[in-house]
Amino acid sequence: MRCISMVFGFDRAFDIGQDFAMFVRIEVATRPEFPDARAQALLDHIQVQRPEIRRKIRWARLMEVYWLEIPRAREEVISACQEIFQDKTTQWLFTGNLIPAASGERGGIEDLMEASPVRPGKFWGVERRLRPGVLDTKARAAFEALTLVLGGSIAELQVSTGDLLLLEGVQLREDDLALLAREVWCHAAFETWSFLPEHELSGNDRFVQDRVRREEAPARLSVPGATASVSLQAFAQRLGSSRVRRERAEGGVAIDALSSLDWGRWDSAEREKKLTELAIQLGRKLDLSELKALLEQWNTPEVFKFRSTLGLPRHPTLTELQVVAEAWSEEARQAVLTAPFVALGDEGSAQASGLVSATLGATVQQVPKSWIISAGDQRPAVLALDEQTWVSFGIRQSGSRPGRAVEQAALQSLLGGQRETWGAERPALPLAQSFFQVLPEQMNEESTLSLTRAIELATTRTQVPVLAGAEGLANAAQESPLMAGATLGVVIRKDREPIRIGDRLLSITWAGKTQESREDPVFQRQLQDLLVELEALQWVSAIRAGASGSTLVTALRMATEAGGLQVEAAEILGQRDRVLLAVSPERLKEVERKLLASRIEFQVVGEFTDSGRLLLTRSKVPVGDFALSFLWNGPEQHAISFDPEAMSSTANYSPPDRLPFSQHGATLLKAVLAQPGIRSPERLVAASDFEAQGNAELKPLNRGNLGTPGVSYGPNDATVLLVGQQSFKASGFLEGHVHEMALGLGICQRQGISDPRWQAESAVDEAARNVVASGALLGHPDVVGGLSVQWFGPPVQQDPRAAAHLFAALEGVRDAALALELPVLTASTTFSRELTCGFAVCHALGRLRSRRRAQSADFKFSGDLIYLLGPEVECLGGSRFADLFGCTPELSVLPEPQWSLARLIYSWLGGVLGKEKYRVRSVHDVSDGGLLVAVTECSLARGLGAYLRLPEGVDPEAWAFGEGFHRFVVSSSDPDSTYLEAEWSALGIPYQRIGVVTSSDRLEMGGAWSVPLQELRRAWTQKGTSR
Amino acid sequence: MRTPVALVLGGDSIGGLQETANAFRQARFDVEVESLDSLIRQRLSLDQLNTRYQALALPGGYSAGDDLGAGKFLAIKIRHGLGWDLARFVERGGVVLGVGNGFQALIRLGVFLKDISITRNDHGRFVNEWTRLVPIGNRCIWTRGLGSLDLPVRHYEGRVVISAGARLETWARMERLGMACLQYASDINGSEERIAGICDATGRIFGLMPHPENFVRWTQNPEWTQQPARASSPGQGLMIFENGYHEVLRSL
Repeated sequence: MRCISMVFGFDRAFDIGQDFAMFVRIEVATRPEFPDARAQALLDHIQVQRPEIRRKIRWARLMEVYWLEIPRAREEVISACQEIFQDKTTQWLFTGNLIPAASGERGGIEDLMEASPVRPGKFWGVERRLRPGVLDTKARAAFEALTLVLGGSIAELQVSTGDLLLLEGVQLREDDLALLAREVWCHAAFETWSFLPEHELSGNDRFVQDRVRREEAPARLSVPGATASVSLQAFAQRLGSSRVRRERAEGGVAIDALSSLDWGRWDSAEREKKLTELAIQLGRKLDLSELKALLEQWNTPEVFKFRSTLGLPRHPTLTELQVVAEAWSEEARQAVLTAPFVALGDEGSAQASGLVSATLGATVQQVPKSWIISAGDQRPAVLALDEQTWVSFGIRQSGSRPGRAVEQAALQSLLGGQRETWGAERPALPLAQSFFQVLPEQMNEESTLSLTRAIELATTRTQVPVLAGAEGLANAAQESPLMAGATLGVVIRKDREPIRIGDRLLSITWAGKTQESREDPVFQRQLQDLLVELEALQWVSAIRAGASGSTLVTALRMATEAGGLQVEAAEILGQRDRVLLAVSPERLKEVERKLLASRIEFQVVGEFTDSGRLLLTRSKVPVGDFALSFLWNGPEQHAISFDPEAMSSTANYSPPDRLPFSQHGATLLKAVLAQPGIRSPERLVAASDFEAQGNAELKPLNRGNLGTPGVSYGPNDATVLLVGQQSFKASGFLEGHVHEMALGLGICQRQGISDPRWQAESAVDEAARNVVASGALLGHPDVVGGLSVQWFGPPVQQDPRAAAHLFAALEGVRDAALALELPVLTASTTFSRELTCGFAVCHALGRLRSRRRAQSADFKFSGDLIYLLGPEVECLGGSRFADLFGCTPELSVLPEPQWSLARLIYSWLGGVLGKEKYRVRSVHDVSDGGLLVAVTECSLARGLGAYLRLPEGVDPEAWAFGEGFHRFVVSSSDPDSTYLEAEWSALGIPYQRIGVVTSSDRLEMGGAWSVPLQELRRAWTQKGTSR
Repeated sequence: MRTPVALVLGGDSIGGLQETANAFRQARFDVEVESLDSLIRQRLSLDQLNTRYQALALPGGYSAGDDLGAGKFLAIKIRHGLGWDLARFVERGGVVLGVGNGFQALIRLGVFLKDISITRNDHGRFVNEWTRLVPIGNRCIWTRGLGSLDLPVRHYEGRVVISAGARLETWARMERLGMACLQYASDINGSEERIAGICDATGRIFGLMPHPENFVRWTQNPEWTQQPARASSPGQGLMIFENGYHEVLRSL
């Protein structure tokens, strides 16, 4: 494909080689009688980010702009453009004079300006154009539409897209527009933006080739990969170019410092010193132990001899250093999870051989489950629901990166999770996700818009809904968003053959060929559809994506599976945006045809071998070589030290500072309801609150009494969805039973306590409670269920206190999981210096016996009795209430878990024990916020009130806001209550009758106070009172 | 008597094909799911379409991410990639159902009237809720015999509009032909005359923004937990697919 260096005018055809190309610029505008939702959304963003500019904007419209080069006659082009871009009822097209009838009376943008409420006003245009190489799905669609309408393949057809923002505001200045473009509207994906003053907007110069300012060539649909040299150069720059010399024209570069090391001549102290210097020179991309391992590997005559045969220098090339730095990075290896832990101090004999095996792995090993196909590492676990239906359950964390846009971070977390599902060893079709996020406080207002938009885009465009959502508390130091998710998928085919020697490695880019990956849910869905089809057709040996975001690590896994790999270094190094396929030579042509037909860009970049080595090439010339075992195993791991003394289990609260509960309980309740983690998760799940591919039986937000005024929604504890009806082949359906699965999550972040073990146990218990409350069976040996655990915390390698927290937390997870017989199916960690304290997020998966067992949280009928099921709590330690309002030392005690009681209650709720469970009309777990918050949430969905009685002899605040383990609010009809109470008593399940459901739309506290549900809803949805 | 076969179009990131296929299957159709690209490669002609299939379904779910306009890309593929004339398909006994994005594509294809279009909701927001619907008249074979029903809606672009210059004439024609066959009980998106679904003059091509395929069993309705005894009952949306089945049987 040739490049052009200028933009062509619409009204002239130019000879570009052998073809004629006609340039057309098309602006698509919504007609003035219809509201412009895109412009309004942008104004909302400006209001948040730059209110002073928003005040100056009196009116705005947003147009899509297409730049086309079409090698066809004018009449054909006009007809095609009308068909593709015009809607006579709702849109105008501005095309200069190409299609004057497609716009208003004047035939130009002035027709739109006439609709401005202020005439004559002062108008500006701000135009942005996508950067060449950025994935542009709109251009792809226009390209294909033009090809179809004009007929046949059109070799010189080119399309690029952008937007034109039309603004009116007499006080607007160019400075304002520059600020607007830079800070609000034009992110990294956009190459150019320019201003168009009113006289230029009114004229037609921008449509006429001779009068257009010279610009860069428009983005092309297909740009040959050019990332290789860029990433290498970037790495070299980080290392310091003065220390780098080019050794091979193809990019093999050695470090002077390395070649001057004389390993055998120095004693150990001198080695340490030299290596320290070298680590600094290398920008600390490799630490001392890694350098030692590397040099020991290199300094043998055998290696030297072998390298000579490949034409490689004696010392590691820059490519090789880059490979090691990526493959051994903490992000890729999650080394902390496998490292031994050693306790410091006088009694420092305690040592765990590896954190995972000692803690989380124990839950899989000690509680064997026949339905676990694979589990216990960082990849998605695979579980068998029956002989035919297998599901995968994996987690994805979106690491903290300063300055990262919330929208892209959320998209990466959600779409990355989906990629890991279909790019796993057992490719699976993603069904649903759970999502957790913590946003820095200073970002919150703006981030709400971005986050909502990102979740809407990701879920609607990919049709993979977020069915469980929660948010955490940001600390003062946090500047970047933290996000994490778990993805449930259905395995596409059970029987797989391994990657074979001779299979080709194909690389597909999913983010456009730019340095900064850009997530696009539309393209992702297209790619997913294609890959699922290839997998179902058994045309590929392997599909891989994800693996900690590093393409190198993904390739390394594949190479290890096959036994060796020869690969183009540029395609796997420094890349996070590649999907890799292993394809047999016999199938290669078919797969290539399929990819081409779907307009998916790909390259054949390598071939699997049986050499036991990873051979890296540039343009097929060797530039690096490793024994796979060396690269995979990494350097010997050093123990991470922790200080057991740092693990206190104290609760430190400020003295109480609050109004008395007897008079102001409603005010206190509203303040608690408005807290992150308690308040409505609507912005996380609302866009997805529809059927999960037609299969959601219980939704995350429960809407009651359709069409009844004043009734809205309330939370459910978990989502229940059907698994087993998914289509994997165009021509058929997966046969087999339908299974009901519950998906929920639990988290415990508390400011007032420093007991990571307690918090971890709380998180596990909450996750379990959530799925149990929704009707799932947990802990039964034959019933599928388990946890995915994500740890967020400060780096532990150099910080014994942080290490102690991690160790204690994972012990807490282990003990709770073992007590509940819930295996930890997969785990991962994210370390960030912005985090001052660590916490665990637990995603839980449970299985129901039938859909009839699904139970929602909402009160169903007035007159029903309300019970508190579970142990009493007589303290405020560990509660949100204590965090908010302080606590006396006497009430600061932390409630203790009672796991045997938990199993009793959970078994009864799951229907394993007893026979009266079906008499229960609602179940909601008591978690963040305590009993009153749980009762409020039960009331919200149907607008039914509650009358509660405070038991005698209890501390009212501890009763109302204390948080413990294993507790639920349940309701039942009056006649059924006799049977239930008798069964609870017989089984030894503690319960209290605490009140009655009313039709009064108020929450009444035993004559002491009452509050309208509407006020509580406002607090909970953040649309009114907060503290 | 052979079992009617429904063709459900997929590909191009159409999201709702599984639910739609499942709904047709529950209504006793045999179902085939084919991607548009595959059909284009096969060059499946209108004659072949009529021979092999009795029902054609255009599912919902953001084909091509709504780039170029909701349903536009799908419409271009059907018209130019496949060259199908849906009016002729139904003349020969076929029935067509378009849901959500499929309805938008039917409008872009001009299957209804040329002055009807569809655009963003008047409030500019994504609607995602259950809503009550009222069938109008008996022209549409898909809604025949239905009372008011509740279905989920989820869309950004569901507002049916009529060209300002031809509003009276177009609306009168729609009324005369019984084309506006499904209304929202309350205004949820600014749609003209609260139109939720339209059929063509034959009543055999029907498009609607709500999603009947997502209410084929009672447990899909959020109300079900209040009436768990009905957990095994069918959902109201299933009747739409069953009506299509019975109509096809009559035509065979």
